[in-house]
Amino acid sequence: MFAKNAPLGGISNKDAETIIGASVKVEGNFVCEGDMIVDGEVKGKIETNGFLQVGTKSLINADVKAGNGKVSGEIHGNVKVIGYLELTATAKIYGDIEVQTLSVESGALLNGQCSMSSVGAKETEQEAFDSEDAQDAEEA
Amino acid sequence: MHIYIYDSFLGQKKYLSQVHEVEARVTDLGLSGRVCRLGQLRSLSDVVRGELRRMPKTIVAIGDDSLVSRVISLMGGSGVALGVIPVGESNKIAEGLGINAENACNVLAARRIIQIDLGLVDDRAFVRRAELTGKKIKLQIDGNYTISSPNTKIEAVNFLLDNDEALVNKRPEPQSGSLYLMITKEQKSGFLKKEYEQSFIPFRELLIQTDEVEARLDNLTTVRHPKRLSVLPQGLEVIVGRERQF
Repeated sequence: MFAKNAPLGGISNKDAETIIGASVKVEGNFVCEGDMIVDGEVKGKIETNGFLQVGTKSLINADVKAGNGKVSGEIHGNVKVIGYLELTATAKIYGDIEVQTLSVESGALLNGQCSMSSVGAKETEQEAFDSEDAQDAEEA
Repeated sequence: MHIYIYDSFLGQKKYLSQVHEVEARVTDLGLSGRVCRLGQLRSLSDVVRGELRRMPKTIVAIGDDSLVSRVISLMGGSGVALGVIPVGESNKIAEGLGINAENACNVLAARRIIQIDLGLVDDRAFVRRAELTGKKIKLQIDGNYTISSPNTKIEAVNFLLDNDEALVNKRPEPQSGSLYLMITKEQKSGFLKKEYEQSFIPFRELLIQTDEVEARLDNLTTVRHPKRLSVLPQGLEVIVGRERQF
């Protein structure tokens, strides 16, 4: 259901591949591989295939795509997460969310549409169909 | 053939016995070669460029970080292996390569060669780290996004020594094909203990969009008004010891 080795409770600085501290401001297409922690300010776009952790002090004006995520800060933009997304009590999201599994703590703010049409599941279903087609072709 | 480049300070009396020991050990190991002693009339760039034209097997720098760093910046991309015999006060680069005064000649004889990335500030190479200083530094990373972070220490790191402080477990590796931008800010701290906030961003190319910036390379040389910081993947062939720190 989740990406392999997805850290469900969040990640520490020691485990992250990319860290944006509170004093750092990023503008543009911030595309990275691996787990990422954002505690600063980001304008533009954030994309990672790993885990994205958005800290309490962070301010993000960007569309966000991630493998899995935990949000404790403020996001102005649409959020698309393939696996699991956790919104903690301090999270504020002004935008639409597309996610497979969502956890929302009491106090979190979500102003936007939430779609749980399961991005990952869609891909899995498609893969299953493709594999069935391939089997049928082999049998024929 | 091995080319041995002696730093100019090795002529001082206090280093004579150490140099004689090195020479004796090198001879015992059958590694003798041409000796080039630097002095006022002989510049390092003339020596290294002249010797590289002869395509030697190895160029060995005998001296401290300053000499090693300057030799590396002249040898980067040459394909000739670099050996280091540390003599003198500051030998952080040799330490990172797993070489010390005791094992240096044996390491040279064992000839364990690896290729490592070099960092480039404009066209000047560095091995470990380059620190950028200036006001309101703005950087464009890999052509995708810009970063600004006032009142912080900004460094591009190729590799860290074991005793260098970093708040991440995944330490930069000089064989990854990337450099790492390390931005450190001192937080409000207690009476005795300082606390730091650290950002850590891998990159391949960084453009400096601020004019009044200086780059300090390996804490040895300064480049004024640098424009570009990049990685030269596998830019240096270097002989390393077993205890190298990456």
